[in-house]
Amino acid sequence: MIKTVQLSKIYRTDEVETTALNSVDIEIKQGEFVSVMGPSGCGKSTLLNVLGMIDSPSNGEYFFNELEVGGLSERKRSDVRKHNLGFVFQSFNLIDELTVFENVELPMLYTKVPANERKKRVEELLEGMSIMHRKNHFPQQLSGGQQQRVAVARAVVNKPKLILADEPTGNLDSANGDEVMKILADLNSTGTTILMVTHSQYCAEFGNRIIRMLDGTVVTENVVKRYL
Amino acid sequence: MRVEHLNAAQFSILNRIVMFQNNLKIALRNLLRRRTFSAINIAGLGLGMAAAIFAFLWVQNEFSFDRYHQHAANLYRINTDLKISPDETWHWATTPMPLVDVLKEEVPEVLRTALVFDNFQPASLKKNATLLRTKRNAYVGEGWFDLFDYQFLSGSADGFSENLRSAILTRDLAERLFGRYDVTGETFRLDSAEMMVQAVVENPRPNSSFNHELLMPLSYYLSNPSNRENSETWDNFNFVTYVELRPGNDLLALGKKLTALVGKHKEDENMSLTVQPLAELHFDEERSYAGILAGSRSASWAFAFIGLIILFLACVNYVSITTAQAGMRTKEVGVRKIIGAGGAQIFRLLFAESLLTTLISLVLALCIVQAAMPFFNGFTEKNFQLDPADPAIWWVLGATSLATLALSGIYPALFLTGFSPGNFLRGQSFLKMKNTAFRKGLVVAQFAVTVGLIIGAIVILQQQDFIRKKDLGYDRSQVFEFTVPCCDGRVEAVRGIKQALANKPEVMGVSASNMSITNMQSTHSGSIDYDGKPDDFVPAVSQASVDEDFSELLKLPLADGRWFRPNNEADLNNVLLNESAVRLFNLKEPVVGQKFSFQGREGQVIGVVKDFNYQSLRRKIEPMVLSNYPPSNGNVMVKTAAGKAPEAIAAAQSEWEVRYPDLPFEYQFLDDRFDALYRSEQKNADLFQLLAGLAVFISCLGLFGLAVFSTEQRRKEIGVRKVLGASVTSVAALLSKDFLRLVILSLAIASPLAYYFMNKWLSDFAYRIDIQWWVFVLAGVLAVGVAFLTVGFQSVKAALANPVKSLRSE
Repeated sequence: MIKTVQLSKIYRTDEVETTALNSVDIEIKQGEFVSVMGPSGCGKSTLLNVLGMIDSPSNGEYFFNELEVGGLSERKRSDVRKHNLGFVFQSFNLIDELTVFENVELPMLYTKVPANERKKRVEELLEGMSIMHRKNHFPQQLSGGQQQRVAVARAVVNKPKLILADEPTGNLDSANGDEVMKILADLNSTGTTILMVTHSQYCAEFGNRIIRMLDGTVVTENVVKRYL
Repeated sequence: MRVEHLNAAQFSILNRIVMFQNNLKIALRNLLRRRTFSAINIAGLGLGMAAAIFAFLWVQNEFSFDRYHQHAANLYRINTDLKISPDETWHWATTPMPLVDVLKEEVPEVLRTALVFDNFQPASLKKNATLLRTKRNAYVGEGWFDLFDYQFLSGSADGFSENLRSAILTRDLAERLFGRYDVTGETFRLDSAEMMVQAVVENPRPNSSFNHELLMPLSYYLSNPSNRENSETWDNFNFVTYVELRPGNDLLALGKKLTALVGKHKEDENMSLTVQPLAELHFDEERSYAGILAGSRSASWAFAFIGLIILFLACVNYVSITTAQAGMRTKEVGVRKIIGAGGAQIFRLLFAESLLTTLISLVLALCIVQAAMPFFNGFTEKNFQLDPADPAIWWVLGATSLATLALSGIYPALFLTGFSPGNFLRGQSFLKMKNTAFRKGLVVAQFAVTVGLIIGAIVILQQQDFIRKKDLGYDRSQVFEFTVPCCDGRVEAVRGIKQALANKPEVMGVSASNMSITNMQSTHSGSIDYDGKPDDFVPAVSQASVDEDFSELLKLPLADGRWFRPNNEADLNNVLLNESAVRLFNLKEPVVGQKFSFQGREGQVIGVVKDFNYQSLRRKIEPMVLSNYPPSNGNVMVKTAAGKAPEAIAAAQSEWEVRYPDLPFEYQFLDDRFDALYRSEQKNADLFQLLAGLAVFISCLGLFGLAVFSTEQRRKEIGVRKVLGASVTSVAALLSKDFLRLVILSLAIASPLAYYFMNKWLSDFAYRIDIQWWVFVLAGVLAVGVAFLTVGFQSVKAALANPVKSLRSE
C-alpha cells in the first residue's frame, strides 16, 4: 500500500537547514498495523505528515497504492487524502466550534455523502464508541478520553484505507489510552491499515511491526514478538 | 424527492446548500464565541454602512432628479442664450410668453407645452387667525398637470385654468394654513384676494425641481391687465417653457430651428434658443435661478467619496481584526484542510462569516439610519425616507452591502485559505506569517484619513471664526431689518415708519436702502459717465440705493466728502463711490465734486466711502456706486438701544400693523442674515466635524480591537518580563509604543495632503486664513491622545495582570 524510495524532507529557514527525513525507505502492506518509535525530533511526525500527504517530500518517491503522490499538487493530494486517509492526533484536534456530531460528520461533507447516510454513519460510530449521549456537546465539554474517541470516530467515518495516528494516547491516562488502543486494534482487525507514531513501547506493541527512527533515518524494523 | 433519486447536478446543488447552511451556523457560533471582537466589528461596520447609506441616498437622489415623471424621457425645457459681448453670454432658463404659440402652431415635433411663471415674491396667506408666507409659489399654464406628475390627495386639476381664483396646495402648506390637509373647496386669503382650494397634492419629492408649495392658474396672473401687457411681448423673458417632444429628435437642430422661427418675431441676432432634457435641469448651474436651485455634480461625488471613506475605515477595522485573529483559527482551518476541505470550501466558510457580519451590521445600520433620518433631513433640507416600496432604497442598500462585503470579506478569507495544514501540525500559526506589515499598513491608512479629517475640521472652524470676527468696515450689531412691500405708497410708508420710530427711546437710528447691506448683489454697467472716461471703457459696478441715515446707522466711515443729506433735492442725482470704484474709474483729483452720470441721472460725486464688505467674503470688494433713490428704498433697518431689542421690535411691529394689517411682520437681525450667507460653509463645517468625529470613533474601535488582541498575544512575554523585574509603566509603554509609532507615521502622511486640499478649499475665499503649523500639531496631539487612551487602557490592564497566571496558562 505504501512504498517510499529515498524519501527526504528538509526544512529551511533563513539561516538554518534541518534534515527531518533522510533517505527513508519503508514499505507497508495493506492490513498492517505499524508503529513508529524514536526519540523526540527524530522525524517520526514528519514521516507521518509526508505519508499523510499533508506535507510534500523534498526528495525521493512516495507510492500510495502504486500511485506516485509525492509530486502531486496540494489540490490533488487533498483529493487522495479525503477519500483514503483518516487522522488521529495526540491533541485530538477537534474543531471547538462544532458539536461532537458535527465534528464526526465533517469529513463526509467534503466527500459529499448524502445527509441521511451521514446521519446513519455518525450515529453508528458514536454508538459503537459509547458517546452517543454526548453528540450535541462541544469538545470542551468532554473528557480527554471522550474527545479522542470522537477524533477516532471522525478518522474512520469515511471508511479510510489507512489511518495515521500521531501519539493517540499521549494526552490520555492509561485507562483511556487502553480504550483508544483497543479501538484501533479492532479497526485493524477489520482490515484497516494503521500507521501509528508513539513514544510508548506498550502502545507500539499493539501493532504487528515497529519501525525505530533516529535523526531522520530508519534504524531498525522489528516484527512484534507475538507475531513471530 | 428522495436523495437517492437526485441526479448528479441536483445532488451537487443540494450539497452546496447544506454546506452553506453549515457555514452560516458555524459563522454564527464564531461570532458569539468572540463577542468583544464581533461587537467591535459590527458597531464599526454598522456606523460605516449608515454613513454610506446616507451618502448613497443623497447621490442617488441627486442623479434621479425629475426622472420620476411618466413622460420624463420626452420632456424638455426651452432655454435662451443671449450673447452680450464677444466674451460673455447670458444663459437664461426663461423665454418670452409668445414663444409657446409658435411652438404649438409651427413646430410639429412638439406634442404638448406648459408654461410656468415663478413668483419670486413670497405670497402672504391668511385663514382666520393664521397668517403665513409661502416659500415658493408659481402660476402654471394649461397642460402643466398633463406634463408633470403630481399625487393628488384631494381634488383634481380638472378645470384649474378656468377657475381663476383656484389654488393647489401641498399637504404641508395646507396643514400649516388649515391645520389639516383635506381642505378642497375651502377658501383663504392670498394678499387681498379670496382664493379657493381646488386640490391638495403630496409634498414635493426630494428629487423634484418643482418644489412649489402653492400653484395658481396662469390665467389668474394674466387677468391683471398690466401683467398681460408685460407678458405678451417678445421683449420680456419671464416664463419657463416646457415641451413634450415626439421621440427621436436632434436637439441641436431643433434649437436652431426654434431660433430661426423666433427670429421672425424678434429680430435679435444675439439671441438663440436651446432645448434641454428635463433630467439635465438639476445640474445646470448656469441657468439656476430662484425657482430651481441647481445641484452640484462635484458636491454629489464628494459626498459619495466621503461616505465610501467612512465605510472604508470601518472595513479596515474588520480586516485588521479578522486577520489579527487568524491565529485563533489556525487549528480549525488546519484540521479542515487535513480531513479534505479544499481551498474554495475554506474560503466559503470564512466568507460566510463576513456575510453574516455584514448582514447584522446592515440591520444595525438601518436602525441608525432610521434614527438619524430627521437630522439628515434637517441638514439636507429634503424629505428622505426609508420606503421599502421604493426600488432606489434597495439599490442603495444592495450597493452598500456589496461594497462592505467586497472590502471586508475577501481579503481575510483569502488570507486564511492560504494557510498550509503542514504548518499547523508543526505548531506554527498564522501569526508567524508575515501579515503584520499589511495590518500596520491598514492602521496607518486608517489614521491618515482620520488625521486628515481632523485637520480639515480645524481649518474649516478657523475660517468660520475668521469670517465671523472679520471687521467688515461697518457695524452690524443690534440692527434688525424688514422689507416694506412694493410699490404704491412705499415712499410714504417708509418715511412714516422712520419718523415714528426715530422718536422712540429704544431705537438708536433708522435707515432705508434697497437691499440688505449683508448681501448687495445688484450690478450695473452701461450708463456710467464722467469726465475723462475713455469711450471704449464700460465699467461694471455694484450698485445700491441708500438713504441719508445709512452711514451713521452702520458707522460707515467716509474717506472724503460728505454723505447724502436729508431733503437735499440735488442728492437724488448725486452719488458716493467706494475706494475701489475711485481706483477703477481713475477720476481726476479732487474726486469729490466731479460730474458723474448714473442711471440717466446727472449729478456729481459728493463723497468717497471707505471700502466695506457688502457680499460674502468669498468675493473681493468690488467697485460700488451708491445713490439715493427713495422709491427703491424698501429695506428698513432699525438700530436698537442696548438691551432694548424686544421693545424696538414691538415698536416696529405696531407701525407695520397699522399700515399692513393683512401681511405678517417679518424681521431679521443683520447678524443672522450675515450668518445665513455662510450657511453652506456652516454645513460643510458641521459635516466635517461629524465625519471627523465618526472617523476617530471608528478608527479607535479598530485600534482598541488590535490592542486587545496584541496584549492577548503577548501575555507570555509580559509575564516573563514582569518576573524578570519589569515595572508596570515600562510594560505599558512597551505595548503602547508600537501603536503610537503608527499613528505618528499616519500624521506624517496626512499632513501634506490635508494642507494641499485645505489650501485649495481656502483659495475660494477672497478673505481667508493661512494654515498655521500648530494645526498639524493639534491634530497630531488629538490623534495620539485618543489613540493612547484607547491603547493605553489595554496596555496598563495587561501590565497589571499577575504574571503567574499568564505563565501557568502557557
